[in-house]
Amino acid sequence: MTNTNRGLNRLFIFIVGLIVFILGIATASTHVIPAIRTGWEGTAPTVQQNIHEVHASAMLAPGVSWITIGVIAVLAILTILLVAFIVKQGHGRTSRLIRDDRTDHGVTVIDSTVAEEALRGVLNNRPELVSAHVSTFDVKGAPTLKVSVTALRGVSPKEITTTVESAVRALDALLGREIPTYLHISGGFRARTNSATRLQ
Amino acid sequence: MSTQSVYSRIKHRETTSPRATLAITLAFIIIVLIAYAVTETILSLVEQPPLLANPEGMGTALVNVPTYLAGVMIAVGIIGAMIGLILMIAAVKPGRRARHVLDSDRVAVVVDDEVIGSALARHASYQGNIDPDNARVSVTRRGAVVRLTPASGTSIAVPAVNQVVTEQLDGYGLRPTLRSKVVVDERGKVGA
Repeated sequence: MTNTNRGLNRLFIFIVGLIVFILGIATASTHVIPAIRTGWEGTAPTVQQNIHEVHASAMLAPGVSWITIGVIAVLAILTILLVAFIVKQGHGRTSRLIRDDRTDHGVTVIDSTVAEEALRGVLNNRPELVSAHVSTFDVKGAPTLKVSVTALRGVSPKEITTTVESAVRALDALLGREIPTYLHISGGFRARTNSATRLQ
Repeated sequence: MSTQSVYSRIKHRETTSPRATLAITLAFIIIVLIAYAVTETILSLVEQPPLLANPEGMGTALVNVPTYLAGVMIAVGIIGAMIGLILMIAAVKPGRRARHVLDSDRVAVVVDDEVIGSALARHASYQGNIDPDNARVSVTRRGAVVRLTPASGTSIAVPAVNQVVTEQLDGYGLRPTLRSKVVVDERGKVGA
């Protein structure tokens, strides 16, 4: 229901995996493949020497190089991007269910709490449900109700679907239009009541 | 967007994993590593003793990689490569959750596999006349296996149980559809 960018998540995980994979292979190969070992031994000190020289040539003050400042700045920007990436996960709730401005006299706005409370009121009294939560998400511009119910152990999901369908149809009649609704049924083995009574 | 396209989007997204936990964990680890690197750099700038090693020392350590103990470096490298490979596979796989779509003409319904399992277990145990605790159901993407433990000395009519389970599954209208199988344990249990 959320608008999490899943493609970005995949891409991020893949790139991190690729980097870790390459580093791992490189580490092992310096000891497994002689050619890479000699190559590393020949090149690495020169590279370090070059970095030293570049560092020394861009001095801002004694001991402080522009390069160091630049590296810190790049790392800071990267950190900000990563924090933004984390914070962007799992959004998409909305508080507005309907906005109708077709009339000449004004605008009608219905808050999502209207539908949420109506459904919750019906569903929380049902004996086959342990609990029911209703929230509203914006799915590609369409306000969509999310009904998550926890079923008692052994209750048929079809039965629950029928119950929720009739509650949603009643809401349709109340609002005068059909709001897209998503129903998630969880529970099962975890949500058991008291132990069975034996009659024999 | 039309209701149908909203529904198909929801059904797809709710039966697959967003990989948010993995992505957030990796991002957090990288942030910690960056924070450490920045700390060491600043400590060396203000000429304070490093926490572990200053940037200069890290560079030298990298140059000296071929001189380290071969066994350790190979092990570290292989473990790293494996972690990288697992991450890449996790990124590419479809990431299906243990959930099924249930047919409905008004709402988009997604049901956890354990709910399907516990409903099947209840019906199978009623039909087989055993305690619900002695019916175990495992639900996979395309199949459901019902295992029943009979009370010792009694037998369970498998065809009847099979019929009840099949009727239930047909009635639910799950996508993808499940094929059922009923297995009765050879050993019974006292008081089952």
